[in-house]
Amino acid sequence: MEEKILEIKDLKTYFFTNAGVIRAVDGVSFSLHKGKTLGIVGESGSGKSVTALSILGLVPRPAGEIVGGEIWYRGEDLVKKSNREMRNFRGKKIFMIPQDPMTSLNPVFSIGDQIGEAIKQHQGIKGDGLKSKIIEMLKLVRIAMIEKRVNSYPHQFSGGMKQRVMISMALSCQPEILIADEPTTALDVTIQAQILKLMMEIRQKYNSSIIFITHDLGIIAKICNDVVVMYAGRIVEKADVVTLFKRHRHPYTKGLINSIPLLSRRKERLLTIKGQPPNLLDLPDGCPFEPRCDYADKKCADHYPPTELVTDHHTICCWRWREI
Amino acid sequence: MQKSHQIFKKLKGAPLWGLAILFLLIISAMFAELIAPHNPIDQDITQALRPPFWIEGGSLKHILGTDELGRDILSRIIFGARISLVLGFIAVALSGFIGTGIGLTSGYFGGRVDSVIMRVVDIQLSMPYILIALALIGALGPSLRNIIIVIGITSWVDYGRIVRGEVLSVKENDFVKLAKIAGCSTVRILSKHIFPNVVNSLIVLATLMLGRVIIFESALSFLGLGVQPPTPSWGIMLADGRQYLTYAWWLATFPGVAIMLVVLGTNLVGDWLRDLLDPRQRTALKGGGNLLWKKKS
Amino acid sequence: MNTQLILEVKDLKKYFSIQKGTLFSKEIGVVKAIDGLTFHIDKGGTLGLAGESGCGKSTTGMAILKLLEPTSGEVLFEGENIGHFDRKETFIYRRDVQAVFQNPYASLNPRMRIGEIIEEPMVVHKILNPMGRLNRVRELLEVVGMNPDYLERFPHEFSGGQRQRIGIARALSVNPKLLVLDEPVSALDVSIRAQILNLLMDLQREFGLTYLFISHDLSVVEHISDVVAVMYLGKLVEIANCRDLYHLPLHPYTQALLSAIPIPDPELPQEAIVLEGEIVDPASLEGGCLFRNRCPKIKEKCNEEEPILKEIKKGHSVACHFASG
Repeated sequence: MEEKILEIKDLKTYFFTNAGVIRAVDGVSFSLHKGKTLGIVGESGSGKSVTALSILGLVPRPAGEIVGGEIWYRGEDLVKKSNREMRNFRGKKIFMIPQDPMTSLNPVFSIGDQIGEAIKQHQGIKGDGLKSKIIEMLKLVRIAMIEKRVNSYPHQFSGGMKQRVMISMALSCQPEILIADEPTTALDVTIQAQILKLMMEIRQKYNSSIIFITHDLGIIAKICNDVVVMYAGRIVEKADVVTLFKRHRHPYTKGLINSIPLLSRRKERLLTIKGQPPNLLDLPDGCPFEPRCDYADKKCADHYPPTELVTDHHTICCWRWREI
Repeated sequence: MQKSHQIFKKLKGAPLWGLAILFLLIISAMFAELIAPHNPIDQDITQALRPPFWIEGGSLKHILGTDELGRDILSRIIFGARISLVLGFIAVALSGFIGTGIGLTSGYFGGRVDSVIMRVVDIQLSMPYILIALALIGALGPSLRNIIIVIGITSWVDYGRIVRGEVLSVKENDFVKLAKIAGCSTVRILSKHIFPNVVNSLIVLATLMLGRVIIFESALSFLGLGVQPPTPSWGIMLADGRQYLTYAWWLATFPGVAIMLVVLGTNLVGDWLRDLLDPRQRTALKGGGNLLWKKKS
Repeated sequence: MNTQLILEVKDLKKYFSIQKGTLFSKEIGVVKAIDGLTFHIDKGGTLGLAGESGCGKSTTGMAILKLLEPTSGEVLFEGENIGHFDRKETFIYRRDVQAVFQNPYASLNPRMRIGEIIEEPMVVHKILNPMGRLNRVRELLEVVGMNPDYLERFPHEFSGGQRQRIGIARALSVNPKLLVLDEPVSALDVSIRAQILNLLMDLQREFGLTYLFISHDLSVVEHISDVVAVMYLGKLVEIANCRDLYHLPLHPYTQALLSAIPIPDPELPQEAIVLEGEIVDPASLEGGCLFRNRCPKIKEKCNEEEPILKEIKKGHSVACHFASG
């Protein structure tokens, strides 16, 4: 039986704004197993990034707040931790690689200094040993000509290189859990391939567990073991990756998969999901996907569907999945 | 519509004191003849240096006391409001007009034109405005009209810089490129696309500048470079009252308080306007969609 | 002159000089954004211009839209060199060629109602009278799949996908002959992307439009294009009709690019050709093939001689010393 390293139970994170309450994450439950990669798929408004921030205790205050649920890590509920206590976890056992590395790298310190800082903090190495360790960590992520570049500043690096620096920092912390929030969305596809390959090598080498957040189903298929599909703050379907692609049952999942222009269906009309992404300030009482769903009926509009088991490892949140 | 709904909610946070003060200012200026208890230039030596009514020796005839020539302080303050307002609006309009024109040109056309203009701005900013004022008034002679000119000439730089900054950022938006692609003339682009997106900052700045201009006038009048007696301006009242500060403090204090209140009022209202107008604009331009604090997830 | 050709680009070059100093500036370097581009677009067809960031595809779009002056080379629209246009001819050109850009949030003037936005090109070109334009705006909104009553609303009331539709409606208002689409769906959610792509394809069929479709996303490019041109560091490395390019890419860069696209099928084993090496300043690679520092198939000749675009098969050209059909 695989070990569960992180377990989220009924997490709820809301934002309290002038215009109303935004239920960004509204009852999300899933687990991350040791050494595995979990993909969280969703579009804008799905709540996937806010979920990641909730795990790390980085939900922007005062507007945002975790209002319910539990996040179990190593026998402790992270929701109940104070900001100071969370600092023991952040960057040490749980590390996040964000979409835009520019905002996590300090522009006034050199790359070498920043990695050095991370290494000093987490591996306790100082002095001369530190310098060679910095080079070693940066070589791991294959940044070319690293000896010359170790004193360069973030703005002198390209997007792909900055992400590699972030991964290198993550490695310096030897985290148990790595949360990557759309780390390759802003990168060219050839650079993305490099980064993904790197992450897979790392997972293998250090047996880390990864949560990979993205809207790109191709990446999910390539690197994830399990997948969670989110819509309007809730999980609509959860399964292992093969089941999700081959035996999915939720209309949204189906719509997403069908709307990808595959390298084989050119010039055919793409099957689309009609309508617009959800307005989180004005969600209906029933299933939030109902306005766009081809299979919706009255029950879907009035009542929010329960989460049911399709099989042991496949859950779905839909009234009509049996009939579709 | 969501837009008006948002505006309405924000109106609730309006700075009532600030608006009240400005309202008072405008009313005083417009209806000075009706409101003021006395003629501001009427002299009555027998009533000279009477204190405000709550102090022994004062009377309700002159609520805030009289000055060294027996003129009623309160009336002079009310009439002074007219000077301040007229001056304020015209000066702000003048410098705003010049500054906006130059800012638009500099920001939109960039290149050498921009470099040259910015150097001129730098040079002007490096000179203390009082010196410029002294020089200009010296040449033109002190009068209300000349003060307005002086203020117009020295204050345009603030508008110029801010407008230029705004233009630079608005210019980057694709809709400006698309306007060019559609064949819009430069004039049309500036008037329909650039200026309307810059006007918000302008309104905020103008409100804040009103207070500054009034202080500027006071300083000039204090130095004898502004309006000439017997016209009551708050600056002149300050200047005259200075020598009596130790025993007839009310001559200088009340005009000082008036200036302070007006500046406070304009600052409060200006800040509020900025909050009211800016975030919605920023959100609309940079991608907030329909929601306010939505995190991109 | 081939009447089927709506646009022809011949050896187009655009170099940007890096200046230093304010009042008296000096040129200290040059960025070769486009370095010798040649291609054409057939009337009613779609040319996909693909490549990663920095390859020069957006600059090419700008040059074709006449927002940039080329350093050398020609852009011929219906046989005429647009660089030689006088003001009147440029004005007409600005009716015949329109554009849709990537960022839906920056493409619409937030101070104008969408009816006015869509109407503007018609106003500028003095097409129809106000009543006629009103009707046309309503018509265009319907054509792009939106409620015609929305014309009184402001842009911030709409989502990303809807804003792109409005942008498309505006572009169509003057019946353009050529539409330059620069990453029109890249900033949209995946499910909305499909809607807009379908819309673009439907519109092309219905109105006989010609598209220049610029994108870094090769799966999207393949879906909508007839001919695809791949750019790298300012040069064209491969150009072929769509089917040929995707089934048998001949240039090592195209091969790597295509293999790097993750396929949404977990059971299909995918060996991406992962390119080692970084994208460096092309100035340092002059004298040989610009791709050589990352190319898995590099040979001696690549260091010495820059390959030129050669037709290997009919309609399929490649710039590589060792490509064979």
